[in-house]
Amino acid sequence: MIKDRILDGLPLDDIFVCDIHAHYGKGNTTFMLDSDADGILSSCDRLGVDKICVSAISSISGDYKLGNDMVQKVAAEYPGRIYGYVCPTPYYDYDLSEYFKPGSGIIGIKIHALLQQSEIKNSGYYAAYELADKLSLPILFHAWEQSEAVQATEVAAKYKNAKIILGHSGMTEIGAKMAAIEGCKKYENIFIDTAISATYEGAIEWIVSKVGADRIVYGSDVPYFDCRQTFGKLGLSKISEKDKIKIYGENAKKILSL
Amino acid sequence: MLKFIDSNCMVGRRNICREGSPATVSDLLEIMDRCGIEKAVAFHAFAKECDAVEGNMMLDKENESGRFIPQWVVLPDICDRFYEPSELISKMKENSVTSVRFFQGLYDHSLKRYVSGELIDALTDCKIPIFLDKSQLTWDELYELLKEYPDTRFVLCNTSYRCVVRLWPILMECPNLYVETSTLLMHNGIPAFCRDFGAERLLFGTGMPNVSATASASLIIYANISDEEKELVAHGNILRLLEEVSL
Repeated sequence: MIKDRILDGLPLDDIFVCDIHAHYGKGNTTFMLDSDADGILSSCDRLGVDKICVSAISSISGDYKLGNDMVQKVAAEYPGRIYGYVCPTPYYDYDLSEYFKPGSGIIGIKIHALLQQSEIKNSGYYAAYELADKLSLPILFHAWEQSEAVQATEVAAKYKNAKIILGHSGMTEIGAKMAAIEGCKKYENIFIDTAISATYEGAIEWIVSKVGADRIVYGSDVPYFDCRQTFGKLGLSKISEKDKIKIYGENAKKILSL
Repeated sequence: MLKFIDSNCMVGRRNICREGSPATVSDLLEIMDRCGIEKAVAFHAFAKECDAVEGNMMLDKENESGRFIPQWVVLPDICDRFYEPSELISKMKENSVTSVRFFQGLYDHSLKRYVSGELIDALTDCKIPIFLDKSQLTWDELYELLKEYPDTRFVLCNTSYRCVVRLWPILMECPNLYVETSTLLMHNGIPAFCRDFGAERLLFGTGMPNVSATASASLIIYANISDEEKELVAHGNILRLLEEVSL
């Protein structure tokens, strides 16, 4: 049983685990410990996380191009282990298609409109949405607030081939949760991740009861937060073993075409 | 399996009870069983949110299981709002209460010596640990408090994953500060804390019912620290602090 392995402090090396929401590198607003590839992978090894999908912190709150290039580099250095999201910016012309070469390890697009002092519906992001639609890519949205979850749902409605992951919104305040639940009911291309800093016991059980385990994916937000806490919260939750396995990695396998 | 004693739990009906979160003592006990938490130091929600005197007295009703170690919310006695320090200590002894907690922001009182000095000195004389909630004071206020009362044992709860650069310098300067783990969620924060300040100053807590106990337990279970350090953090430190109380 997964819960027994966790209580014994053992890695879940007998199931597939993919962390769909992680970061890489440094940022000024939050000092992070061990935020380089070795530091992050060391924690992944401890838990039995097979694959991890990162966006560079500098991509979303600094020089987007420099950050995207950093992610491209680290994905190339750790093939099959670290995968990358690249980020657009609404303030510059960009072409993200150059990153999506076969074998590059770049698997999707990350949007953090809040840190870019923008909105998901800003037309400056449309080129990224169109690319995701064309290549059937996942777009991981920072969707902490209700307005972000609502706007990301509008993207899902318009770009039906894109796979929309609502980061945080299944775990945060009720407005974001309700928007995420509505979105999942309306559109098959919406998923919710588990990333959160501190939330209460029962949050995972509640969101699974509303949208089903097929729509939830495991994300930790490491290295902002320690991945151990979200990892254990899922494994020690009261949902079924089958649902835990789906959320830990089987759903991600389908979404990311791994 | 690691044995846990939770050093940060709240019981009783509260104002805001989020969807799907534990609402009753039975819910809390089920979660404690699920992650190996033997006992929990607990205060009453009513003592935090409405009336400290009445709320503290409501703790007993929630503790038929005997698995909650009672903690009182305290405040300085102004206009008979609370007990005088000597009366407080005597009532704590009567009710087997071995730790206290301030919500000075909610109750709108100062922790400065001219207001709370007599109270804090009385608690210090009995080695009663004082739990603080980070939401109730700034980092600089915390530092000043720790320096003003160097012999008092303070336990800081409700920190943040963003707190390293603010918390670490205070820990370095103030050996009378202990930290509870439920919101100390920065990546590899637990081993970094143990390396820099020793495992003796870190207390496992869940923050229930507002924070996840399974997440808090996993943070310790999987931490890259020794088994001895885990035992201290999980239960040894809080038991030691409470055993040293002299009422």
